[in-house]
Amino acid sequence: MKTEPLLQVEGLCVDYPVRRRRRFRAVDSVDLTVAPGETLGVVGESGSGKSTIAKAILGITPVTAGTIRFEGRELDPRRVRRRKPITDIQVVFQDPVSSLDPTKTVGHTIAEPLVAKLRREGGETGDVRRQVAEMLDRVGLPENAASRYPAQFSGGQRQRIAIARAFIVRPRLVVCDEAVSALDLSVQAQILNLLTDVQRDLGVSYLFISHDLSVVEHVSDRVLVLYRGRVMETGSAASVVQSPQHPYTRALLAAAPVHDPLRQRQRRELRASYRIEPKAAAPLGDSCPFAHRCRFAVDRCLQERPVLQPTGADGAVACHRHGELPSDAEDDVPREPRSTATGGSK
Amino acid sequence: MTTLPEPAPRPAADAANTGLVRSVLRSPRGAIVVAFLVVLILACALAPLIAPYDPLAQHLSAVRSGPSGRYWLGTDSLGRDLLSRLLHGGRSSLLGVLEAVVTLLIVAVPTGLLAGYLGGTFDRIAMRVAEVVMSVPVIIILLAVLSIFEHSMTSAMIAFGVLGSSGLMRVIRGSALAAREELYVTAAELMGLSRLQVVVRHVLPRCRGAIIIQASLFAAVTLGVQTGLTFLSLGPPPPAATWGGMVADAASVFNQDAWMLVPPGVTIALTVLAFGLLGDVVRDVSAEKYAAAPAARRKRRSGTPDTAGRPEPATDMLLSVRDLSVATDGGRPLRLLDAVGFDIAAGETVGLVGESGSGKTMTARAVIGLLPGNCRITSGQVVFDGSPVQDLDQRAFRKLRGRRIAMISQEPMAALDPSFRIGSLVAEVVRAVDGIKGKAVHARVIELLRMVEIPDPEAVARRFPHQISGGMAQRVAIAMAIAGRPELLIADEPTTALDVTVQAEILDLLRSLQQQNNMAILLVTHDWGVVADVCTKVVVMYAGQVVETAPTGEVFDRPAHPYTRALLLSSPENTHVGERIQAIPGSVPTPQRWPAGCRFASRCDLAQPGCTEGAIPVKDISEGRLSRCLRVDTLLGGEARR
Ligand SMILES: Nc1ncnc2c1ncn2[C@@H]1O[C@H](COP(=O)(O)OP(=O)(O)OP(=O)(O)O)[C@@H](O)[C@H]1O
Ligand code: SF4
Ligand code: SF4
Ligand SMILES: [Mg+2]
Repeated sequence: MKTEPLLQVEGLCVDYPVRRRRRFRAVDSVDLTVAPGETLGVVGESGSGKSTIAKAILGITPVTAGTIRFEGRELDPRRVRRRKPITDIQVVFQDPVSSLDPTKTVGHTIAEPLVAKLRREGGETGDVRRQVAEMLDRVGLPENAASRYPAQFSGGQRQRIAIARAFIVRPRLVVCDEAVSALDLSVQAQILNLLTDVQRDLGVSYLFISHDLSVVEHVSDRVLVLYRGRVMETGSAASVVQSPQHPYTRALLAAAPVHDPLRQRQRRELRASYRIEPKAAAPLGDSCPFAHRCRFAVDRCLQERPVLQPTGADGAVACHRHGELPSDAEDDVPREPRSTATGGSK
Repeated sequence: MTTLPEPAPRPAADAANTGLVRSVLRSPRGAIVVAFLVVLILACALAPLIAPYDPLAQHLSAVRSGPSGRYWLGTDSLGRDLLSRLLHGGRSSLLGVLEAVVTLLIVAVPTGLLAGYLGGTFDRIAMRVAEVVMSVPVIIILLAVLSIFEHSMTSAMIAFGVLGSSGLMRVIRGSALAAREELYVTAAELMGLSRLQVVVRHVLPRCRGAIIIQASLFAAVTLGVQTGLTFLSLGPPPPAATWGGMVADAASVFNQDAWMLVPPGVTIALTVLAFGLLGDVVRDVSAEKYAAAPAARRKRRSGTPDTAGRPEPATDMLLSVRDLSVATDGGRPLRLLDAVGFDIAAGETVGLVGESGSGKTMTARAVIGLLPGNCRITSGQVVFDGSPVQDLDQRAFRKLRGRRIAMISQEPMAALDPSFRIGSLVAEVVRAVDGIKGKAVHARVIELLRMVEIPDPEAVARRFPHQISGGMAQRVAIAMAIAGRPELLIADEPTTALDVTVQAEILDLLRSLQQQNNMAILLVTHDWGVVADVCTKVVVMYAGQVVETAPTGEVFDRPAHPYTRALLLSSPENTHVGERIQAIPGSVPTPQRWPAGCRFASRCDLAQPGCTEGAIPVKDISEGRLSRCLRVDTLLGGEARR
C-alpha cells in the first residue's frame, strides 16, 4: 500500500496577466505528489514554470485552477495574503544575496520565523536563543555568526543561513528553488550534503527545483520534467536520466555536457542527430508544446494535445509517439563515475 | 564560588539602529555637527534659565553697544541684550522646524511605505495627490494660512510640512517598491508576519537612511523659510524675539551699526549648514554600512614571485603569458594574481577553470588590457603574436582589441545598448573595424548575423535587444566580437547565464567558427562539462595562481594537482547516486589570507609539513603538463598503481 502523500497537487494552472488584458498560462494542468521524506526534482528550461509551481505551493501567487492538498487538507491558495501561513512548508531561494535582510543580524533572521510561529501559537519564546545556536551548529556555522550581518558571509555561508531559517520551525516540506545554482562547485557540494544530512536527521520532504540534471539526479527520488508549463515526463530519477522516454527529456540530457571528452563527443553526435531546423514556436493549445523542436513530430502532434501515459513502474510520458521511438543510443558508453572520481587517496 | 549566568547579550533587533547613530558620531564631521546642534537646541530650550537678561528688557543706558563683559553679544537699538534675544528667538525658530519636520514624517513615511508596499489603488491616489501638492505655489499657501490663523507660526509650519511631504513620500515609495521585490520580504511574508510587521521590520529599515537625509535637508530649508516669515513679521508679533525679526531690526539700522546683523546672521547660517551637513554625513555613513566589513589585513609577506615552469615567453605561440602578477593600487597593494603563466597556440581552445575568486576573469582582463581602474600589472609578460603587450597604453591596445583580440562576456544583454536596433549595434562595430561605409556595411552585418546562425537575420537586425532571447543576444555579441576577424577570442563564462540546450548551441557555434577561421579561444568557465566539450587544454587556477596545466584528454582521468582532483570529485556527476558527495572542506582563501606555503594546504588531503614552509614551485611533469604540487609523484604514482 502506498503511503498517503504529504503534498498533492492536481490540475494546477497559473495564469499571469500580460499586455492588452490577455493572460499567459505559465503552468498548465500540472499534477504532482511528494511523499513524506521524499525528494521530487523538477527540471526544465528557464521560463518553463518551475518557480511558478513553487510560488503556487507556497501560496504567494494567485492560482487559476487546481487544488493543492497538504497532509490531505486542501490549502487556501491565498493564505499568505490572509495571514494564515503554513509553517510546515518552507523555502530556500536561489539568490543568497537578496534572500537575507542586510539590516538584520543572522541570529535575528533565523529566529524571526520561530518567534512569529510561537507568538501565533501563544508559546513561550524563552528558548529561541538556544534553538538558534543549535541550528547554526547544525548548518555548520560558528556560534558567533548570530551577532553578525549577512554581508560578512560568503555565498555558501549565506545559503547555510537561509537553510537554518527554513528549518528552525521544523517544516515537513521545504521548497528549494535553484538553491545551489548560484554556488561554486565545491560549495555546491557542501550545501547538497548539508541538505541531505538535514533530510536524514529531520525527515523532511523536498521539492527540489533545478536546471542542472546532474544535481537533480543526485538528490531526487523522482523527477518531473517540465516544458512550457506542462509536464512532459515523470518517473524515478534513475529511469528518467538513464533511459529518457520523451524527446524533450532526451534533448535536455543530450545538451548537458559530461565530464569526459570521449563520452562528450558521443553525446554531441547524439545531440546533432536530434537537431532540426528551428521553427517558430506554435502557440500553446491543442498541440504538443515541443512540436516545433521535435525531430519525431508528425501531423497529429500539431493537432492534438498528448496526455500523460504510464511508461513503467511509476513513470509517465506525454508524447503521441511513445513506444514508437528508437531507444536512446547513449547506452553504448558505460555511464560509471570514473575510477579517479571514486577513489580518494588514503 | 558560583558565577551568575551572564546576562543574554542584547537581542539584535535594534543593533542596526544604534549602529547608524554610532557611525555618524564616529565620523569627525558628524561629531561636530551633532555637537553643534545639541548645544544649540539645549541652549535655546533652557533660555529662560540661562539667558542673562529678559529678552524684552530695555537697557536704555546701553543702546546699540557692541560686545562687552556685560552684554556678550551687544544690544540692539532699544538696548535689549542680543544674546538673550537670540536664545529666546531660537526657541520659536527651532520649534517651528520641529513642527514642520514631524509633520513631514507623519505624512510622508506611512503614505510612502503603504503606497510602495500595497501598490494598486492606494498607490495611484497617493501619487496623484502628491503631484497636485508638488505643483502648488508654497509661498502663496503659507501666506494664505497666516492670513487665516494670524501670527500662528505653528499652523504655517504644519502646512509647510504637509507641502514638503510629497518629495519624501516618493523617495520612500521607491525604496518600498524595491524592497517588495526582495526575496527576504517574500520570506517574511511566508513566515506569517502581518503586512504591517513586514513593512515596519523589513521595509522601513531600508528607508531609514533616506528618511534622515531628506528630513535634515528639509529642516535646513524650513529654517530658511521660517526666518523669512518672521523677517516679514508674519510670525509672532513684535516685540517677541525671533531670529527673522532680529535680522529685520538689524537691517533697519545697518548703515549706523553693522554689528547687530552678525549674531543672528551667523547663527542662522551655521544652523542651516549644520542641518544640511547632517544629511550629507548620514548619506556617506549609510553608504558604507552593510557593506562587507573589511577583512582583517595581514602583514604582507615579502616573498618573491616564484618563477613558472618555463620563465621565457614562448615565441611560437599566439599568446604567451609569463609570471603575470596583478595587484591593487594604493598604499597597501593587495596581490590578486601571482605569477600566472600559460600559452595558447593559434586555433587552439584553452579552458581557464577555477572557482569564483580564483582570478580567472582578472587574468582574461589583464590579457586584453582591461583591468579595473584600481588594479595594475606589477610584473610579468603578456606576449601576443611575438610582441609584448603588457605595457601598451590604452590607445595602442584599442588597435588590437576588436581586431586581433576580441572578448565576449557572461551577460550578453549588458553588451547591447537597449536603445539601438541590433542592426545598428553590429553596424557600428563593422564600421569601426572594417572602415567601410554605406551599403557594404549592411551586407556585412547580415553576413555576420548569418555566420552566427541567426535565422532570418534581416528581421533580427530590425529588432531591439529586449525583443530577443538571451541565447540570441549571445549570438549577436559573438557576431560583434568576430566582426574584426580576431585571432584570439576571450570568452568569459559565455554560457553560464544560458539554458543547457542553448549553451550546447552556442558551444557548437564557437566550435564551428573556430574551425572556419582558425581562431584561438580562451574560454573562462567553471563547468568541467564545457571543458570536456570544447577545450583542447586546461589551465586550473586556485587563489590567484595556476596550479595545473594539462591536455583535456588527461586531466579528467589523471589530474596532477590535488585541487583539480578534489574539484572533479565534488561534482554530483562523479558521485554514485545515494552516496555523499566528496566535498572539499573549508573555502577558498581570500587574497588577504593567502598563506606563504601552498595555498591549498589547509584543504588538501595529501598535505604534509613541507607544504606550508614556502612557495611551491611549478613542476614540469611531462609534455604540456605542469603542476604546482610537491607531492605530484605520490598523486600520479598512486593513480598508476590502482
Ligand atoms: N510576475 C509575472 N508576470 C508575468 N509573467 C511572468 C511572471 N512571472 C513569471 N512569468 C512568466 O511565466 C513563465 C514561467 O516562469 P517561471 O519563473 O515559473 O519559470 P522558471 O522555470 O522558474 O524559469 P527560471 O529557470 O528562469 O527560473 C515565464 O515565461 C515567465 O516569463
Ligand atoms: S508528441 Fe510529437 S512533437 Fe511532441 S514530443 Fe512526441 S513526437 Fe515530438
Ligand atoms: S603542495 Fe602539498 S598541500 Fe599543496 S597541493 Fe600539493 S600536497 Fe597538497
Ligand atoms: Mg525560477
